[in-house]
Amino acid sequence: VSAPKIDPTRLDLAREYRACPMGRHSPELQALLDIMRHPDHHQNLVLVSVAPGKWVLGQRQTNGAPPVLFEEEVFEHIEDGEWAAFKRRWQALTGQALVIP
Amino acid sequence: MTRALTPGVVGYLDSLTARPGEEITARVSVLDGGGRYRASLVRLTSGETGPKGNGLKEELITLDPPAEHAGAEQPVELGSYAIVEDLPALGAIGMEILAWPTQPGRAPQALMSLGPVRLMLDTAGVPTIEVAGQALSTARPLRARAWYRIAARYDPTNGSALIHSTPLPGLHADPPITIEGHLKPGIVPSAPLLIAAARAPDGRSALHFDGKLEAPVLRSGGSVFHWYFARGIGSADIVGTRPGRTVNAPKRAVTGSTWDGSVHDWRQEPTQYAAIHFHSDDLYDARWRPSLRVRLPETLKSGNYALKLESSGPAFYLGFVVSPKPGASTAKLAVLASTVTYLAYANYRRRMAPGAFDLSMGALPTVDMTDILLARHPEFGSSTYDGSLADRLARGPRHRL
Repeated sequence: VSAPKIDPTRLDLAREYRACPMGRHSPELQALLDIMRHPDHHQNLVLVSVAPGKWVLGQRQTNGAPPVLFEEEVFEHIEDGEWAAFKRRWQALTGQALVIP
Repeated sequence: MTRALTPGVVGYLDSLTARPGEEITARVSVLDGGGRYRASLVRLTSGETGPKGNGLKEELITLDPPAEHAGAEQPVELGSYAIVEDLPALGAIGMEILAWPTQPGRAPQALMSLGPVRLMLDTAGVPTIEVAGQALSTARPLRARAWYRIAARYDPTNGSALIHSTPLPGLHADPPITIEGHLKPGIVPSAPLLIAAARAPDGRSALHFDGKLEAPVLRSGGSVFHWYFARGIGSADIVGTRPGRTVNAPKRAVTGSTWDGSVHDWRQEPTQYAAIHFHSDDLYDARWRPSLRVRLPETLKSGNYALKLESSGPAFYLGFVVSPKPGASTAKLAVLASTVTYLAYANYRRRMAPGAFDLSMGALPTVDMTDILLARHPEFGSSTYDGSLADRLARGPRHRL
């Protein structure tokens, strides 16, 4: 089953997520997140604790190898890491970088 | 940065609990090649390292012994097998066993081995007798999860050899196959007998078998040696003509080739549970050499403690519980440590396995150096909640764990 793409004009949903990455979301945002988190689209992203209070995004490998780390961005809040994953998945699904004015 | 993410030194303790004044023994492996590590005793007062936790809090307990130690990497021998060391000198031999493979074709797997003479499943899962690297095969791979009788003969005097496979009655119609031929003569089979593995040149076990085995028989010079796995269930012994033992706790009391569905408890009819299930990733005891003995101070308060190991990268904590001395009541509240739960989750790998975690949890999986350390070291084994690595890889990345 191929999941529907997400609507790149719905920046309101991206703003809603940015304001509150964890917790209860609107039904439309939840539907968008369900698409992003589907195994076809989730990119096997994880948050890796690299030091107390420091996180980077990583990508789990299917062969049991350690995750690839994206060390160019270090997050001091776990919510910032969730947002970075959201942007990666948005770009992959829409073909456009997510830029919020 | 990646390299230093994981500890350069790891280890384990002989016991999860100790009392003041007792000695604890640590077995330590230095992974970073530095050959040295520091050890200190700490009391842990907070272990909540999550984003909203208090962080790790520890108090140093002063000890007498010097804090810096020499060490080296200690290997882990992963995979279960059985071994019989006490055998006479062998000449022409016959080997026979019942096999129910779960991963034929994963890699070469030994069913029975006597030094350079091995009864194997080859890389394609085909029954093979291998003598000093030369092979004679039936040319038909075994099916997974079906019982077969596999037999082989080899005579060192002239190199004559035979390999045979017969499916036991079941839901398929593979024909029996017997292939005769000649292999390199003069190769003398030698003890120990390994069942479900073979000896590598470095002395470690290798070529571990995944699946169930039953009723191994060895014939040599008019003698017949056999072992009966329905006896000795609940122990590490294998019982037969000569004593043997299992290594790395393969699963006992599993249904054998004669199980007919009429019993569901091995104690009711052990003869139907005459198989042992071996796994190439079983691990019971890494059997590392003792590295460090620490005498706990007599005055130590009860609580959570750790022997803290440090070289490169983050520290590695060997956690244990100090309980009060017997007979002395020291507090109004007793705490029962959840050691069984700790052990069930030890080496938990599923956080690192691809899957739809954030679809169900509403957040990304968060992992730390312990998860990455485990991913770098498959030989450290898995938790109760992980499937076997071979199974996971066979099912592929889309399997939902």
